[in-house]
Amino acid sequence: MKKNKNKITNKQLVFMIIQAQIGVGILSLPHDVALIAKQDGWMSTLIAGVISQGIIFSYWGLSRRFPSLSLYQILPKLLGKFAGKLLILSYALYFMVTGSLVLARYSDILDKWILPRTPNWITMVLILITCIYIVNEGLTSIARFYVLVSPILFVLLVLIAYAMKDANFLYIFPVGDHSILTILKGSKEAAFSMLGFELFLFIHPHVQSSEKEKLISITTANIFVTCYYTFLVFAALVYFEPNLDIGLTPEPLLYMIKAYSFQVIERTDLFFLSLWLVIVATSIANWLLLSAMGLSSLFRKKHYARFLPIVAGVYLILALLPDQGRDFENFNHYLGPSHYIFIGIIPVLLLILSWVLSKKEVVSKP
Amino acid sequence: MKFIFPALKKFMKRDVQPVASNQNSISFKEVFRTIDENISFFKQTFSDSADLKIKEFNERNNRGILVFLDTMADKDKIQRDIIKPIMEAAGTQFENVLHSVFLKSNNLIKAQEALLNGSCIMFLDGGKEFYMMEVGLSKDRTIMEPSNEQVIQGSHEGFIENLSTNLHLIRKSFRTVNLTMEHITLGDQIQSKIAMVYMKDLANNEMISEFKRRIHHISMDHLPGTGALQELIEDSTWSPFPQILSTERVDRVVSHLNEGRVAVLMEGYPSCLIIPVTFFAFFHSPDDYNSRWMIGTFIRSMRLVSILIAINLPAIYIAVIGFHFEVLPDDLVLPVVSSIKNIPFPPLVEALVMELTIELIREAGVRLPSRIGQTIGIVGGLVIGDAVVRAGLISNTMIVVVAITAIAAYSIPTTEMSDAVRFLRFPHMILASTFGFVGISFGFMFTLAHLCRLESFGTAYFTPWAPFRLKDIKDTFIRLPLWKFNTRPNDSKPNILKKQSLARGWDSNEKKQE
Repeated sequence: MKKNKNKITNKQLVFMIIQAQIGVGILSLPHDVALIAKQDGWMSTLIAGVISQGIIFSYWGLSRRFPSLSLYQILPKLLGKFAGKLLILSYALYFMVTGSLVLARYSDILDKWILPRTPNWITMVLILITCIYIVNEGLTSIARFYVLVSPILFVLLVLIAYAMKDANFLYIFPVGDHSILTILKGSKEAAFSMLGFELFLFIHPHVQSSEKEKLISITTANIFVTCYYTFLVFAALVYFEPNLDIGLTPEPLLYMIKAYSFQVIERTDLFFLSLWLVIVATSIANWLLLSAMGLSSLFRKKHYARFLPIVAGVYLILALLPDQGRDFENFNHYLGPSHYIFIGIIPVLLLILSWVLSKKEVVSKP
Repeated sequence: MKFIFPALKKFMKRDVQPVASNQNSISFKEVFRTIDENISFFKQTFSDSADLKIKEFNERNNRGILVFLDTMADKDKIQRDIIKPIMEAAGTQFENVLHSVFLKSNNLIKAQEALLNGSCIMFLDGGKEFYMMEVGLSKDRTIMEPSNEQVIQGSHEGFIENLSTNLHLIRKSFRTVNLTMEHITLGDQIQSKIAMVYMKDLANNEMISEFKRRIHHISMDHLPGTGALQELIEDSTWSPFPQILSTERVDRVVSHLNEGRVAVLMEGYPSCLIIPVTFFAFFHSPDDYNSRWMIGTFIRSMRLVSILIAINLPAIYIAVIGFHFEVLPDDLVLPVVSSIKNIPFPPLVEALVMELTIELIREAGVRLPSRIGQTIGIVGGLVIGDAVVRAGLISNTMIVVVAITAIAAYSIPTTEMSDAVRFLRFPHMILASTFGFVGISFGFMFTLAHLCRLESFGTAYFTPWAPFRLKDIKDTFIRLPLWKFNTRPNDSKPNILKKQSLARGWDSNEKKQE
């Protein structure tokens, strides 16, 4: 009865990618983008979506050449044992660092908005335990959970849309006032929030569908996330004056809905944050999964579950290291190039390498 | 976590080691040739128990004995069905009577079992075989409506403690050749009879074989009841949620059988276990199908809201009072503040005291006769509820919250699920008192993740929500009109998915003619 333990459908894939992509960045994204691209921030977000779509195509190409191998298995196959292992290790480390950055940002926001007096490590431990619990049973239950909590995205959207009744749409004019270069620089900021679709490279062997359906699923997810983000950025841009106000509000979306009171409840932002926690948990769970998978393939263990507590411990230590707030910027600064390397360059190089070496997995068709 | 998980796993693994049952017991012993030897065998095996009766008789100068347990066998039946035909039969007829009325065997172990089940055994001197006949004494309760699953409309039949009556009730309301019944005996020392009922053409074979595998790996001297059976075969015992539906209603069993599930009954117990079930099966009541579909949907969604209230309302109250007072609208702040102003305890203590009091009132009231039960209700509800506020120990608003929670929890139609929900609110309350809304959020995530992980006999427990299946939402926390139920729910993986094509055929027929 346990044969389908790790299989997911292509619909579940859509939600997994969406949940992996939308994460902690959702709150600060409009602020980050608008700092650079000002009122044209929404264009930057769109462009970031297009760029990630390009990367997704290369992922798909890679997954088509190796239909039953995840990236962790492709690496040693293409690059040889030693280089492969080295890259697996660096991928695992990269995911740990990214994940712990997400963790640190999460606890920072929690610290600022809801629980100012609770020590940060407690909230971190809380979310790590929850994430381990979500992840350690296998892909099927992860996918079920991700699909189950997806309606939350729409609730958040409705809350934001409600706040737009006081928006001033004149704020986004003049459209396209900034140079392409500035807008592209803005997309760089937005692209960090888009991260998460690399999950596809690691779980595609477990998806039960044809290659074409996989592409459609992951594209759907990316389009959804791009539109979602674009809407959020747009909403923040028309709500706050982009040249001055938005620079003062590090989490514009929260400030937007904070002011609204309904007949029964006030401080909507608290509810927003409670729901947002779930979204963050899914993306931290995603990083946990990826790094634990990396370690398990490094040590040739079949199941990743036993690595989860170790990985979570590393996350905790890494996230506690930077002094909250100030060091984030530096941290992000150094992490920036590694995003390009691990998410963009290596997979594309691998694809080219597999073309050049004309290496591909021989699929025995029954 | 790192140490706890492997330790837990080791602990659980130790439990799962399969042990083959019944290995040492002898299953065959040949009958003795002389009657005296047989008599002494029975006297020895039953330790000369007072209810073991051995009557001698003479038939055509041939010595014979009748053996039975007078606590299990009906003396009138013995007189009517055994002694009278034998005495009346003359000459060659005697052989015919023997053949037509009795079952034959030469295995004394079997005789022993038959005696325990209420048979009467006849030995003839010098015979290689013995004869047995079922003359069981039956003192059954009448068939009536189970008191914990009452309905307003619909069938009022419920199971009783007799297995064959229960099977009769199922067969009677489900007359089809596809209904299959299998008998299994369980228990190494004291055997209990279990019947497994399913639709041959619908029930998933894999699920049935999985069920049988689990049943056959049970090694226990005595199975103390359906609750124990449930615990022995369910997937995850580390869960507050019931994973097997136990019901005493015939109509409920029948409708589940028609969805390709398996019903398990046990001799001596009126409840029937249904596998596999999903989370939402515990929120259904046959009443939903007997009322109009809009009303049914409304009531079912009320039940779903009631779980949310029962799990979360005290937690939210604690979080609001302790952490997020600013959530309350201005007009509400004053009444709440004036009510909690003079309370000496933190909200968590208040809530725990009141919730535990309600649990105690329930526990005290359950087993008392109804007259004293009323007194408990008055003492609990009026005296404690009113006095505790006047004494300034618990705030008014807390009483309101606790009362709403209690009502919500008891409106869940299945007792096990209601228990699970009432139990779950305690961890939620503690989380809320330590982390506020954040704690509730995490508690909820934990619960949902747990529900996503649970499986019941290869079926995801939280279907059709996780994994999501839009088609099956029709009969979960809503109930669409019956003519929408064209397919069976997919969670039991029935062999035939199609259930009906045109339930309101006359309607579409009319439209076609127009």
